[in-house]
Amino acid sequence: MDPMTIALISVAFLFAFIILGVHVGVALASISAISIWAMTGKATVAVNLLQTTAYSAVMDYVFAVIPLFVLMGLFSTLSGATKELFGTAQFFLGRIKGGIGIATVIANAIFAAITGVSVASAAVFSKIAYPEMERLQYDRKFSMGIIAGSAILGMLIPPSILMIVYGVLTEQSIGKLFMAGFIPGIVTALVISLGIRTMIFFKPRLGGVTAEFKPFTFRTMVSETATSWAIIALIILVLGGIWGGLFTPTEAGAVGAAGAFILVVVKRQFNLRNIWNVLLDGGQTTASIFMLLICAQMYSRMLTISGLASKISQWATTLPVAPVFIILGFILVFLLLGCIIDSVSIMLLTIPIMHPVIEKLGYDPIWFAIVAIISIEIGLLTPPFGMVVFSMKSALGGKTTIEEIFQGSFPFLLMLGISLAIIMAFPILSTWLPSLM
Amino acid sequence: MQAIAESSPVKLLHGLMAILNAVGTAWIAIITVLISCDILGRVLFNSPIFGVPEFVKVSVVGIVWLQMSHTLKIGGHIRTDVILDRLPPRGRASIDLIASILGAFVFGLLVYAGWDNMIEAWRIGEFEGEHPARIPTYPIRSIVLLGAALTSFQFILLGWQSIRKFFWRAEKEDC
Repeated sequence: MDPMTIALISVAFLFAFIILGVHVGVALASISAISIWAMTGKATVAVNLLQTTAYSAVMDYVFAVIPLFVLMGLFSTLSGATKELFGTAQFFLGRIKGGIGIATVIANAIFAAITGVSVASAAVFSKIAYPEMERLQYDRKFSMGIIAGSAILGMLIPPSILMIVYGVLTEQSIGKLFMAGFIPGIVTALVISLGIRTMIFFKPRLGGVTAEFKPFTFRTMVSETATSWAIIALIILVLGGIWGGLFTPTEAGAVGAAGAFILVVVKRQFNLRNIWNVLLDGGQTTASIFMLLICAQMYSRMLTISGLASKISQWATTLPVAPVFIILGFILVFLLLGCIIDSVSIMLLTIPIMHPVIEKLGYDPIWFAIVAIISIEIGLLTPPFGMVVFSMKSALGGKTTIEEIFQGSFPFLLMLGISLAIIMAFPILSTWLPSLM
Repeated sequence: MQAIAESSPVKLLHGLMAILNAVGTAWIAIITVLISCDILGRVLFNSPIFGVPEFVKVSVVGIVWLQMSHTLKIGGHIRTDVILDRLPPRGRASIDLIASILGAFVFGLLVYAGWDNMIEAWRIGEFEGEHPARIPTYPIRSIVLLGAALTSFQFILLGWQSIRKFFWRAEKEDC
């Protein structure tokens, strides 16, 4: 059999194994090893590949960025920053109709600048924002839709695990990818906020009642802002430091983690049990991502050896359709995969094949990263198996059903679709900030 | 049957996994402090700490492999349960068994493949980086193999459990 056929068969097996429920990393590693053995006819090549990848695939300064940003997110959550952010956003936006909904979106956007995982934000905001919206008699499905829809911001606004993974796979600068997500993140937050206002305009019943707040005076404004100044200062330091070239992303992660730890101490959340839990939690998140990264490098070596990736990109450029249809095809693949597997695995499986095509067609890989992230995240919201929806269900407990959350998030899928279209149509939104670096 | 998963060598190894995980995470904390001091030194006193980037680079590998086996034990490695959750217990056990065999095979192979390189690294005192920021890498190679061996062992244990579930339908979940 020629290498190309072997590669195609192994990709098919890979998807089958992963869908059945074999650990994604194990499926990637074992199938890559076996198919390299089959292609080269030498077992030693495959065995050597395994051991060099395990040792040297992640031996790079830039990889330290993952555990550090994970730690920063966990410490910030422990310090209670999320609740404070939501409180501040509520104070400023709560008095307009639908204001708590918009406050949820804005607090989510700011929280996204601390954490890199969107499933995490859906769970956190289900616990903080949902009870508040319930109290103000918001429509149940509407409130759940707001939380699910704005969870996408977690992956879009830097730092983001998906950007790091994309950067590693395609050898793009992680700092630039971080900055690329910033404006699209704001655009998406605006689209969702406007969407909430529009829905309430046509159906005022959705928005429940408006809460009472202390009046706007200089004093109350200062005191309300003061509760969350520390976390905002930390975000500005970390992201500003990367953008201004003061820090490498790895250094920014360390500064962020250290800063968030100080916040934990200042907010009197420091005790050994809390810290121990955060450390164990961080260890688990880090190891599971790295297992995928290591094994995915074996897979992409396998694709390179087989020549499949370059063949596909040649084939794609000769297709008699406009390049934009290829991009739309890729988006469709992301949406479909988002129904079955998690976002990091989707990136690892698809980007090694798609990236050469994108480059060959002359698209900016940084722009495509943002398009890919939004599409993958939309996939995580679509039935029948949206991951974000499942994590919300477990955070809300018996209060709701999966079907209700899916129904509630449907209008938000449309809004995210609009935002995706805007970001695709205007690449400058993604490429402007990184071009200034 | 219950006895195997709870026998003392297994308990001992599980204890070792938890300790290694904690060491790995403490290592991340050390890196955080080191990098922060490096930046402070650079910005305030114009004197960065020597060798921090080299140390960080090598550390990542060590940290990951220290945490690998424990993450498997607590079910932290990423897999999809879309189909798995909808299968009858026996179907589930069969897929678990396939996953465990593949896992034990891959990680076992890793130990086998890396062994000679590790011995060689110890013999020649292999290092990464230029003098004077030379970081020895033979401990890292050993950690990789230890982590892979423990992960392979944990997969074997999981495989054994799924065989038991398939035939005897265990009443109680263990490890």
